[in-house]
Amino acid sequence: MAGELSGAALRRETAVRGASRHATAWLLLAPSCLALVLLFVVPIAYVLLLSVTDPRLSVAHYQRIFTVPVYTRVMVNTFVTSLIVTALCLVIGYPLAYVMARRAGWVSTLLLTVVAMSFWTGFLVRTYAWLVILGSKGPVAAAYGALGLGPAPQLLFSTFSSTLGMTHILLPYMVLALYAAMKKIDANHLKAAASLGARPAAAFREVFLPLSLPGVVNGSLLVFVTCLGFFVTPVLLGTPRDMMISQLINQQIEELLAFGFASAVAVVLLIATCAVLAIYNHYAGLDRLWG
Amino acid sequence: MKSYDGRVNAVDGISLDIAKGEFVTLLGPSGSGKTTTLMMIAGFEEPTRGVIELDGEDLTRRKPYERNIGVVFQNYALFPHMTVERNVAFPLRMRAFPRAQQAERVREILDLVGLRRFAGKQPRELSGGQQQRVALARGLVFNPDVLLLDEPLGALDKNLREQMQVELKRIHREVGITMVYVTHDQTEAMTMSDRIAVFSHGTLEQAAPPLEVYHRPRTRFVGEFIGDSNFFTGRVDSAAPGRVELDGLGTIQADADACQHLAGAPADVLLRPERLQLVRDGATLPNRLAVKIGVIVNYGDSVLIIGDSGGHSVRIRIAGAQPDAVREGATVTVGWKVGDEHLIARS
Repeated sequence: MAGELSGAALRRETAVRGASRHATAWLLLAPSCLALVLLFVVPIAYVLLLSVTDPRLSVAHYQRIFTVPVYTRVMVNTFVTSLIVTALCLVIGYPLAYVMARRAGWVSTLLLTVVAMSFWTGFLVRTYAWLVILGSKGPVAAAYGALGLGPAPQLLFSTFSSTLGMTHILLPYMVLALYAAMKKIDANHLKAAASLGARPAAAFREVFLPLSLPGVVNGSLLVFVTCLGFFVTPVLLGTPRDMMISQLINQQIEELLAFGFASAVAVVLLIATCAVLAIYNHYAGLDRLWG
Repeated sequence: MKSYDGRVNAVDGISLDIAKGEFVTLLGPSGSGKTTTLMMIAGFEEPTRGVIELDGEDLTRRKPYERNIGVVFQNYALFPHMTVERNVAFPLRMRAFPRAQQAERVREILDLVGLRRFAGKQPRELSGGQQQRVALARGLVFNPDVLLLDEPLGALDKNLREQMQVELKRIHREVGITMVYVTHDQTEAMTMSDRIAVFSHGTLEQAAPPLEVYHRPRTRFVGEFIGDSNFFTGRVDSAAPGRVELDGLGTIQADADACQHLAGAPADVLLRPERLQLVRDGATLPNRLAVKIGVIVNYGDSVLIIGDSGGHSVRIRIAGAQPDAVREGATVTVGWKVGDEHLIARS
């Protein structure tokens, strides 16, 4: 019917069709590419540019960050706080995720619902909730009064309240990452361990814990990276002494109009975040981050 | 030795004694309670009532890790984060075996399953059959009293499955361990077992050697589940010894002794398709049926004829090549000897 279609014609045909298919694919990608370039790449490039050109071309801002003790302290504090919050989330989240993944029925459903609800409730709302709970007219202060323990200690605007708030807000990320990994562990592995003579503690240590490690790494990464750039919660609950990088950036822009220096700090934060992700990518692969 | 009598919704009133060194297969369709029974022996399910004993010791309330029973799971359940060697050494580590002996024993058992050179591999680097052998080695390495196998060959393709059946039998002979094997594949059960326990709807229908289960099933279910079968309903004549009146097919001559305790009672009559013969002129078979041939399935080494006789479907299997007289639509006469049939009392 089609007769003798020569090889060359056939190839040409395929090539044309292939090209048009590529064009369609690019067309579909165009809106998101455009948005990414306009809203992400351009601003970042601008920040990069500002950090070395405002007010004049130099790397002085970067020198300041790493030589002036106040700024170095902010950097160190940000990392230390992020590590502490990550560790706390892990310690609190692991047992929680364990129960959610291993217990069937309403306990698991209830916990999952609670975690998901707090996951979907805004940062700001939950931060303000802590303001109320820990405030001078809040339930904690009232409990102190009722128990006759005298006036409650100053809880708000401290390292404690800020760490507590950040841990609370980031906990769902940790729990859900852990839960996803634990849910994937085949129950037969634990049965096999038991049949082979492993008591529950040994089965946990030798089988469950190692198999849940991807969740630990994923959850820790999510919490740590998010915490590095945390702003709202430390501002509302913390003290200026425990300033985080984002607060420093905000202060430089809002109060001092030091766009160049703020940009340099932002770049440092960005590089630090990328470094953490690069390390993760090297050992685990970023594509595994979301399961 | 193990005696067993559990009662859960899933299984009910099962009593089974297994001899030391025996290969017993729990056979049944899915949902028949065979896996539940296995899991109760392993200790993962607790019977609501009844006891599980091993060598006179009551195991019923003992945890799985206190039982010394090996389990091979259907999906192997190898620990993905350990090498083959560490997987196999796991039960020895859990039992705090001396290190030197551990390595020695692991080598020994890997030799038995022919996987010594794979000791350093990760489970995911092995084929399905190899993973199966690692699971087997891991279940045997600590000299358990019993090895339980839960459809261990279910995930393998046909050729590999046959290889592994032979392999399993060899290992069973060499190690001499008691094995309880769960499967829904009757061929597997027939070829490997010392005894088959047939399950249906949570009850044990029959526990007997394979050939007895095949030739003398205790219930119609067993007869239909294992092998190909023709079942006819009828009534044993109480007056004439050995006479059975088949519903719609007339009278046949059956084994007089078998008929004795069924005299006057309704019975299911089992005729295995390979017991039916094509009757040639002058043949002297007491029982005959005219069968109109419907479908012919040629297996090469045998022919299966599916025909009709008086409204009853009849299956006939003939060894060898397809005879000339056998054509679709033709009518042939089939016959069988007294004693080829098996009678089952119908309740």
